[in-house]
Amino acid sequence: MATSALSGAQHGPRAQAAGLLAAAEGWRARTRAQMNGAWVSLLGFGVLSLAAVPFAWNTYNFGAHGRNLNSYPTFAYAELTGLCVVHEPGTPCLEGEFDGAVLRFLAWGVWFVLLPLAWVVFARWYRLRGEARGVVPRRDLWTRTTLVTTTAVTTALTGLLLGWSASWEKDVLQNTYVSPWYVIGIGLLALGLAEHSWITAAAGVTHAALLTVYLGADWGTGWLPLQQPAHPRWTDGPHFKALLLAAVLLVAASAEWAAAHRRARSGAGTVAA
Amino acid sequence: MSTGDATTVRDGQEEELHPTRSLDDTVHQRVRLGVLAIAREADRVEFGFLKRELGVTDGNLSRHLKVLEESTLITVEKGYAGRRPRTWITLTREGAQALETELRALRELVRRLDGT
Repeated sequence: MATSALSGAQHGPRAQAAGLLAAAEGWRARTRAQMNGAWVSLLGFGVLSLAAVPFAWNTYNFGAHGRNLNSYPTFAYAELTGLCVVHEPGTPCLEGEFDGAVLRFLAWGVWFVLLPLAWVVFARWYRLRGEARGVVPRRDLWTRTTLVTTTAVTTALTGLLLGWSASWEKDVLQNTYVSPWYVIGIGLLALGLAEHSWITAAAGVTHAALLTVYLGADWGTGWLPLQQPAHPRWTDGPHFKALLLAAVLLVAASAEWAAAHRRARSGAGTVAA
Repeated sequence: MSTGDATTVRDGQEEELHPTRSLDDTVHQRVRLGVLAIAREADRVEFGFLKRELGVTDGNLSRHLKVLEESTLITVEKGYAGRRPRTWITLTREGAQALETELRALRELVRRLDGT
């Protein structure tokens, strides 16, 4: 196998050192490329987000559909007891309000379990795939990156919330359907950083930002054009917003898939050169 | 192999090129540098993966791994996947430091030579 280091040696120490540096960087890049699997998680979470769209009307607390539920526990209690908490707490629901449908409650609550579980499944697949290929991903890197990303996103959110003087303990810590979906944004950002994939990292940031914008409507920022329209059109409603979240992930998945294959090919070229 | 070339670098310009003093023959050798660079990106890598990536023979790679293991820059663990024997290589803390030192020295060397 021809080596840039050897050929470089014929032209002096500078070329040799540069050749070795380039070769080392090529090996590292190619090894990372062998582990690239972010497009799978983007695709998986994109499909999950698509599956969530039909439930969005009943579950999202974006304010766009005229309801203003502040707390998932309160909602859960109301659903289980059949008492409405929307127009007047403790009285039966009016038509179109939450009306004690246990299935709706389950459809909502399932994402709290399903989203973290999906990451666990992905992590396991990632590890097994690495073992099969002979290169096992670094666990410490993942742990560190996830911790840093979670801290960064949480800090940014807290800053935004405090900056807007929002009742954040009510609207975010308890809030409903939106908060568990941050698991996707944070996870993808961590994955993107670990894999050196700016597409995945950007998708994670966009996803988290979009959720924050959706939550922002509840904070009364007023800059979200979709909030509480007088005559809701389809594009003003929660379905469109849920679809937008899914679209971000699916578009990123196809872009990352193409980039991963390009990296794998160019990585092979780098080492062989 | 490039060990001789590395010595040339070291012997020829040791006084003038300070970064060469940080170059360690154990790490500077091309295949061994490749093993460390690849292992740096993973928890552990398999013998066959290294062989493929570095384009070397079984015997050649084994000799280089032995040198690295004796220098405590890597650990070698043998096991099985089903009936198939597999050898896993893990970078040690010393190995990671040695790799960083080597890469830093190479970058500094290139920078200095570019300036002359």
